[in-house]
Amino acid sequence: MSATTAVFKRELRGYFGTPVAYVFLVVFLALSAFLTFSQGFFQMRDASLRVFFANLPGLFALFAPAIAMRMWAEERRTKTVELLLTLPVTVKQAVLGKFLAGWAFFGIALLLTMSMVMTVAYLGDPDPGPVFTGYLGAFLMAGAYLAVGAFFSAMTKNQVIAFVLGAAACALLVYSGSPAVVDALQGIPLLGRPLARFVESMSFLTHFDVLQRGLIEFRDLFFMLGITGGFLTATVVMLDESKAR
Amino acid sequence: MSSYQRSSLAVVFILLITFCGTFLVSEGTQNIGRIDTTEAGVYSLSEGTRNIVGRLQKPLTMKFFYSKDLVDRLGVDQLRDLNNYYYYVRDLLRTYARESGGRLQLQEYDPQPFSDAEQEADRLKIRRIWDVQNAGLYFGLAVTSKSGAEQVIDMFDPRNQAQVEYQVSEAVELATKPAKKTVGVLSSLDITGGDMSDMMRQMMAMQGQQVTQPWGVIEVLRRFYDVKDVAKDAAEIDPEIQYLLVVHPKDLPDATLYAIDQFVMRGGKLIAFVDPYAPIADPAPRDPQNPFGGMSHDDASSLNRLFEAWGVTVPSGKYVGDPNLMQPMPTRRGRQNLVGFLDLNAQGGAGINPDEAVAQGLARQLLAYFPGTVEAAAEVPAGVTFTPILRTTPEGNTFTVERFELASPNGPDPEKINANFKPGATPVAVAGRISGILPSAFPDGDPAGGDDAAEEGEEPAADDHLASCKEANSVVVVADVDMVSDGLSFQRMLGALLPFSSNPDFAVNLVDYVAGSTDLMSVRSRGRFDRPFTVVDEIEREADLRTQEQAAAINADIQRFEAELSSMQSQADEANVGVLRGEAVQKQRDVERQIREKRRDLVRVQKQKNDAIESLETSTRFLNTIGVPLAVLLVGLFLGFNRRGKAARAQGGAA
Repeated sequence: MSATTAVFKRELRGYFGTPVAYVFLVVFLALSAFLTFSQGFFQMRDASLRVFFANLPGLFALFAPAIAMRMWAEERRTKTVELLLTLPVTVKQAVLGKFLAGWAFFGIALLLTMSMVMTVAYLGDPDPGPVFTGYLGAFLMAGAYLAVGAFFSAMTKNQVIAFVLGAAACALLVYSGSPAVVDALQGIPLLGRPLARFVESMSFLTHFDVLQRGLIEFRDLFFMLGITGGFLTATVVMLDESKAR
Repeated sequence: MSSYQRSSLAVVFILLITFCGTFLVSEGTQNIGRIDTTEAGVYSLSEGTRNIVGRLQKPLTMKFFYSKDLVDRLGVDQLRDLNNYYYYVRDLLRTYARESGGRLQLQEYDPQPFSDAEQEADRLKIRRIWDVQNAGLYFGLAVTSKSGAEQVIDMFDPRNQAQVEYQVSEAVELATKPAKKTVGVLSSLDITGGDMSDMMRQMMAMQGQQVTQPWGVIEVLRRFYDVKDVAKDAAEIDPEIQYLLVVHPKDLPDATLYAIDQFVMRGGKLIAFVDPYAPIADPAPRDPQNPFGGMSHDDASSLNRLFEAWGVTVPSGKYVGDPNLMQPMPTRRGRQNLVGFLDLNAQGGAGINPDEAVAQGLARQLLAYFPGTVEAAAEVPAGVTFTPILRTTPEGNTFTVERFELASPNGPDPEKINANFKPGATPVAVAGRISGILPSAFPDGDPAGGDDAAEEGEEPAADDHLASCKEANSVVVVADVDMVSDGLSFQRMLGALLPFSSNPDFAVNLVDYVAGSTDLMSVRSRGRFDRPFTVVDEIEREADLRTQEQAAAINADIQRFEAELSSMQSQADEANVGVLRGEAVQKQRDVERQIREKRRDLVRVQKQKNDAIESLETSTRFLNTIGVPLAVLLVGLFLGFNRRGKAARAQGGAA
């Protein structure tokens, strides 16, 4: 476990060692707040973070792959991955360490959005339950996105390709649950209904929406953690193969 | 197979398992481990609703219509309430669907102009709330069954949010039993006009025969229910009757009381209107020879023989008054407030228990005239509860009045009657619901049957006497009969019934209310789910207060000016009329200028309010969009320079 911790620390320090992390944080904070206010947060006069949370699945689909893209692609391009894996660190530990560092970084980004919570608490009397579950959902969702991004980063040596593939996959996992897609699928004869159901249940929108309303359901937590675990396992398999080569 | 192919295959398998696994788990664990973290538990259905949904035998479909697309296109400002409310209703309906285990299917429609969904909404009579650019705004629900039964909530009204679960549960419940229901009416007064159709009554009237008009409330009930007369000495309640309305029962024979008792024991729903004093519903016969003859007329009714077995009593000679809800009465000295004449819907429904769905949302007055009070009886059976539906404010109380003061031929004198009243400290119930496993008021069985058997020496029949309800049942008690009489409900204009109070709605609601199951009755009203920006509301309230003050000041100015002007005119005589007229013109100009300034002030206060709200928006927007990111940037720069400085120093040291 100490190897994982070592990787985690090295990576997290790595984020803040470059201006990239700050640029990321600044853009994320500004954009999330801008979208919230421009989508009628103030006009609705509803003391909740519904509008703020509603934008997170889309924003994360952009930012998580950006964080994850350099996880492995960069290491593979500069061949430092071989170096890393020759250290007394297993692939599993390395994958977990890097993933946890990225996740912690996202956690920090989310913590910095607490100003939104304070704003709402100042303006009205928000229900604390949905605020808490919304953040819980956002954090779990960030982890799942990062795992997807990490997988595509491990697939290629090119960061840009990793980003594009990761973002596309994340977008697919978000918008598969949008009413337009579900309606279109339902129109397909015979297989429409079950297909729409499957695709909808694969969407972060469906599961995150439940959480941000203040409901904690086993299946939503399972979905987020399941996707995270599945993609991290796939990443380990990918890297094991490249290590073997 | 190369190692690359092998691991690629492995990856494909892993992802396949991930997706299929999460799908299967999410399908298989629909109701497992669900926690509602909201303060009011707004996403949890009440026990009553769960029972209703759990009892469903056949699958039902909930067709939910909301023009989300249209609302989004129109902009959020005016419609913000509607969108927030939509999310709430949608989530609640999804909870119904989820908890029904597949018996309630939810279909959500966003009706576009000229679409099938729009046609379906029109067919189901979902209300087209608003028409804009050929598109209609729909926000309603239809619960349909395969057998064709349909129950429609034509519009979800944001003002009615506390009742939404009740509405939906009622629709679900009623969609399962489409047949028209039978209401029995038993009264010591002739209130149904007999079991004859309107046509027959008209024909008899044309033939010059005496016909009694039914009470308006009965006519309204006939629109929704089959209304059947029950004789006031009936020894049995027709088994066809599911709901029994007993209105003003005066000295009912034991056999009839027993029949009512057994009706309730069988699970029948009883609504009883009794009154210690019902001069409007049951006026004394007019006798010009003897104007005080009314004093001997007994207009009190009671069902305490039954009620007391069920744990409540309506004491005779005790009336309810409320200084907060009292209404004016026309008297010889003009209109005067009478403490026993109440509008229970006054002050925003201060006389209505907000937790009971039945009396919510009444638009007009809910009038009662010297109602009695429903009190706990000396003995309350275990497990039987009484829940007030109508009750006074805390200052309300009971009081007694001598009969001769009430029965004075000139009508009661408010001053004398109000003097008998002392404000109380806790609300007093005027109507309510008894529920639980009710015991029979005739523990020894049929009072008549038992005697017969004893006399004839036969064995007591192995009769079907029920000593208590099989399942929990509810009885509604209203301690005022006047409130359902025409005098407090309707005006008749050219044969048409025009309700002037909400009293008929309340009466019909009561029947609807008991027509639902006991579960439906217990569906509590939902907690408030809207959480406004209190700071903004406060700003608006203050500004409104100030504008009100200013408007009042301006009006006072105008009045003062007019008074001055008229006094000047009255002082005018031939000699000084010219001078005065000049002065008046000058004065008028002055005051007009002042009023203009005051109006400008008014606009300024309005603008200040808007400015205050806008500046609040700007500052919160600035803080979040620019302030926080800027702070992060500064911290980053500071740390960066610090690190660089350290590195430089380290390098310098090394050099």
